[in-house]
Amino acid sequence: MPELQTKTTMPTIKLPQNKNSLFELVLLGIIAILMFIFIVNPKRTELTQAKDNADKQKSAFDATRGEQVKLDALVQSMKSDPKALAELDEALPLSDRISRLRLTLEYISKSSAMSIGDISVSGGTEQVVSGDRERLADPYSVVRKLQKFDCSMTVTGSMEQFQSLLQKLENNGRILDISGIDVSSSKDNALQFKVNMSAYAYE
Amino acid sequence: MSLANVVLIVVILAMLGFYVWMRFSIQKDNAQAADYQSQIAKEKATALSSPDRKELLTRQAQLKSLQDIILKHPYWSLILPKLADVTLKKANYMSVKIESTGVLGLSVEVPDTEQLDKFLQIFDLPEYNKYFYNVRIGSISNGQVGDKLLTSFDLKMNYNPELLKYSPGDALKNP
Repeated sequence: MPELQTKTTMPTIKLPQNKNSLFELVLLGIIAILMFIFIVNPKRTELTQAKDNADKQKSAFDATRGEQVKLDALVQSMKSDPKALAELDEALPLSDRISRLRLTLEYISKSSAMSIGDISVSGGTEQVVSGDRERLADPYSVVRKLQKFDCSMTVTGSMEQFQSLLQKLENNGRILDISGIDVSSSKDNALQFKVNMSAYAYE
Repeated sequence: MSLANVVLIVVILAMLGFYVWMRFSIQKDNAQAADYQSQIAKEKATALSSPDRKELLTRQAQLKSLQDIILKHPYWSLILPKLADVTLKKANYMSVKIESTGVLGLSVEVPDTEQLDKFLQIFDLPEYNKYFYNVRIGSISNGQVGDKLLTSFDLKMNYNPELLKYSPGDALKNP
């Protein structure tokens, strides 16, 4: 009996070897190009941005650190010269009482050997002059601005004494800006002087 | 497999490697940026909470205000000697009023009208005119004080505001 042989064969496409190689080359090329365009290049942009951002933050950090060092140096400088701070506070007090200003004016008049007629200080009648709880608790937290006080002083004496008084007023540790002078003769042949001036406080 | 294919596969693998490296680099850079940001915030918080900072800011503003005031600080003691220079020996000032607006008012007594005229002439001289100028006469009257006849008059004039400014040379005269 003849042997029955059944042989199934699959249909195959056979490309020539060189065409197959060209197809792979084109495919790989396309993959490489697409990969560069859609994956690598956007990531590269992202990397550049991340690096820029990191550099920017580093610069900002360096600047902040620099400012902190500067602040520390300024604080150190401020703390190291209490005499200069005292002079600053005398020239432009951070808190003022009218009584202190009057005391200053009285002292200057007496030191010039002049007779004091009248001293008046105006401004800030509603202002708290003592026992300010907020300021006492934290003196540097309150919002401050330059305050001006108008004052006038009437004194009697000679022209030489008055000249001395003027020099003491203008060279006084506390800044006193004279805004007007009125000289007239008084009854007992002495001269009467009225000085209008401004004093300041940063409070 | 041709050489070109091998090269392209190597290129693709290199791109993959590059991609992975970039991914890690981005993560590292972002972490670094976040770290800097948190350090900045910490530094700022430390600075803001510093008790000395408030004092420093107050002192700086105080000093700035003082500098502004000092720049405009007038020296009135310099004007009186200059006024004495223009005064005749025979003239008496009954009142002197000097205002910061640059106006000076005088009430003067002289023996006669001739002395009044001499008094006024002084202000035409250049050495005095540079300090006191635009002299206006208000009223003139003749009267008798005791056994003396006197001519009284009121004057208003402008003075040079530079007289109120301090100059280093004045330090010797005005210590």
